[in-house]
Amino acid sequence: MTGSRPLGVGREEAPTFAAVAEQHLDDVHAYLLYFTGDRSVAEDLTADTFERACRRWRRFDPRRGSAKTWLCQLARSTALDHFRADARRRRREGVYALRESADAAEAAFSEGFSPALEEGLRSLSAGEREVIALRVILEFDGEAAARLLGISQTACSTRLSRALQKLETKVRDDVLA
Amino acid sequence: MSSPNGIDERFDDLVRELRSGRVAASPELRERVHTIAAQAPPPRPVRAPFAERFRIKRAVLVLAPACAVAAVSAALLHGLTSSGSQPVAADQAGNGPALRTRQTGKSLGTPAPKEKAGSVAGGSAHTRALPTWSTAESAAAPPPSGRYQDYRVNMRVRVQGLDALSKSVVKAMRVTRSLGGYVANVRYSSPSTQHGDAVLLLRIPIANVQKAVLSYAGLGSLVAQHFSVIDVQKQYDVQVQRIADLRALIARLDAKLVAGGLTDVEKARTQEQLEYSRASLTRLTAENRTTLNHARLSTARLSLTTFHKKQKQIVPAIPSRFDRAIDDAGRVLAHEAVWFVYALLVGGPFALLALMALAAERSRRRRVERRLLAAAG
Repeated sequence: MTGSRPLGVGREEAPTFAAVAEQHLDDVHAYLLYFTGDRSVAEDLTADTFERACRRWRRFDPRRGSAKTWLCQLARSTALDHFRADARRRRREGVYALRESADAAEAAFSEGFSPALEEGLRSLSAGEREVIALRVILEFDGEAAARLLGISQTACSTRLSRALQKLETKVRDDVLA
Repeated sequence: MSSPNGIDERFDDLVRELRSGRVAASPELRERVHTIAAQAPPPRPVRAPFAERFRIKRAVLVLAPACAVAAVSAALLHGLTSSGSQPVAADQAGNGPALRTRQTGKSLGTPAPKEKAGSVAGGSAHTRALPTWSTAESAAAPPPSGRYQDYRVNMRVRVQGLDALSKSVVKAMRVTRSLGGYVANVRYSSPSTQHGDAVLLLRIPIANVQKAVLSYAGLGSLVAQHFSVIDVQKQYDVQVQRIADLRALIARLDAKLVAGGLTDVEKARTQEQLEYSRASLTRLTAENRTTLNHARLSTARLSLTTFHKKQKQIVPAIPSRFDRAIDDAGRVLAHEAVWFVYALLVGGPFALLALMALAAERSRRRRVERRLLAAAG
């Protein structure tokens, strides 16, 4: 499934928000989980994303992009807001908040992943995990992912290669260790 | 090498492993989202097709060539519509260059319709300045009436060359004399071997003024003609009446002096009055003679010249309608280009500043985002 393909097949088949939410809930949640690296935060942000999407549902235009892309854009915006608020909180509270955040991020990305892969994903930056989520997990094509990230396709491809290379090296090192 | 999904094949195993992991939302989250979805508004109404299709890039892509086509079309349309009137080229005063007006297509040298000037009464003056004619027949002078009138004609006639000028002067003098008039003054000058002019002041009996005017106009190309008619009948009548009164007064005073019986003072006073009346009579008689002279003989000022009022101009060939349409269209396009450049010069810096601000803001946002994601990792 590619992200750039419009969801609405025809004007008469305009989907309801409930159907869209049901269809893309796991995608949005997975994206936010990879992006934040924190399951509980991802769940909260997923709920926030759908609340925001619900408010803006009337503005959604299937001709401009698929519902999945639109939801992921909202999710990204929600996550960035969260990161900003978190950064402000960290600046205010100092090391305590940083430690608390590190403790909270111990939940697994997926039940099926090896510990090395889990550890490897955790070692990546949010930006690296984000591009992996979009291109690998949600299977957006390069163009849609680049548009969502607000960067060029080449930059997106480079970022993905670096992230996968880093992840592979980390996993291999962990296995060897 | 890259796989069909655009990801490097080196990472196929890793990608496969990542995709094998299932990330599913928890039932609690699913429940929360269902609750949110239940409050969702109905699907948005379908927008009008134009509004849906309207995008800035698409609008620019469509509007830019559309504006260019509209500008060119407007210029061509203006050129075609304004080139419809065929300009009229008419000879002005014989050899003069044709002057034309684009708007009306009428020649400035088109002769005005003849005016019939009748007798003038009540001391009013009729002055008529006529445009130029190419034929002597166009010369016109109002016919004399039975009343006393001060009749003045001013004519300017162009002749070809010095020989023609001298012959015309002689002919004008001969015509004047043959019509019972005389030459009051002649001035002839030829500053170069090719050009010259002459001014003749002619007195012609009123009865023959029309013949004279026609003859003078026939000497060459009539360039200009002015005439004025001032009725002097009333003035003449007043003078005659005053002369008669003065004569009667003088007769009475003479009789008074001859009769005698006056004191010395009365005699001196009567004598003084008599002298004064005689002087007035002499003055009035002279004035009356002048008035009569003016009324009997018209004054014609005839200017003969070889000079052209305007130097010969090279009149370009009358362009075809197509050429004029292209010219007009080009002119309109030039105007449009000037306006476009003007708008560009005025609005360009602002647009550039706006673009720069937009780019700077975008770059700043990306930088902040990158830092934020690096810190969040």
